[in-house]
Amino acid sequence: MNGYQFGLLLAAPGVPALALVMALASAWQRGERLAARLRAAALWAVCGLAIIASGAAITGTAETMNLGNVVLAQENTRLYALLQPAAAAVYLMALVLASEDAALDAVLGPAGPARVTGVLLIAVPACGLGAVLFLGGTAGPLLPGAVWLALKSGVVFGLLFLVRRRFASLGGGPRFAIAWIACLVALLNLAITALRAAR
Amino acid sequence: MLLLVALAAALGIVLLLPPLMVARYLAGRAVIGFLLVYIALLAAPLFYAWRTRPFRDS
Repeated sequence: MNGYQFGLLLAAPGVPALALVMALASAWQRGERLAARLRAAALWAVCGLAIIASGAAITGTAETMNLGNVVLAQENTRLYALLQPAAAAVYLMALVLASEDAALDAVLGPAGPARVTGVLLIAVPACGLGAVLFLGGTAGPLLPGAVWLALKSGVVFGLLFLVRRRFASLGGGPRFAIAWIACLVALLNLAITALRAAR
Repeated sequence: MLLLVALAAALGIVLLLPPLMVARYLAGRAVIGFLLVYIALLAAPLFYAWRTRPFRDS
């Protein structure tokens, strides 16, 4: 494990703390809305941890945190969606579970142009990062790299949209359970990856 | 060292408490399905690496 990965591990407790602070900072009026905000903070903390752990597993596999080198490593070996399928699935499911309507209602307000803009500001970079980490980003024949990146980001975004619609009716309890299992699997995957990289 | 202990304690609280709270949902069909899928995805590349491990004559 190198210094960067240790830093990522160190950041792990910071994610729930940051989510909590953000939820509390937006809680101007006390009352029933506060509980919903805390619930949203807990959900996003779990999903953030899962995403960080899967990203750290990718840096352990590629042995670099440079995204350009992550793409090169996938060109020279295999797409990390194949080498790290658990990390890829956890990344996608964490994004899906985090975009719960109830949580967005509590923190960002009712559905409308402002909320859609806010969600897109997070979802589009997240899909781009997912495309780079798991689908090879700019790598591909014939077309320029930027076009490949846009295409792959579009694929991730479409997948996110479809899976999100499939699990829109999932209740709060099962949603938390699935998110926590995803988080634990991501941390287990990170530990296995670090052990295999150190050997 | 102190930092590591604090990190371990924080991770322990963060990771153990909520699973206990959501444990009553673990028997649900969707949750068990996801658990199985995650474990299969985790095990598949490890199994492939084990099957294609290089031969060592020692």
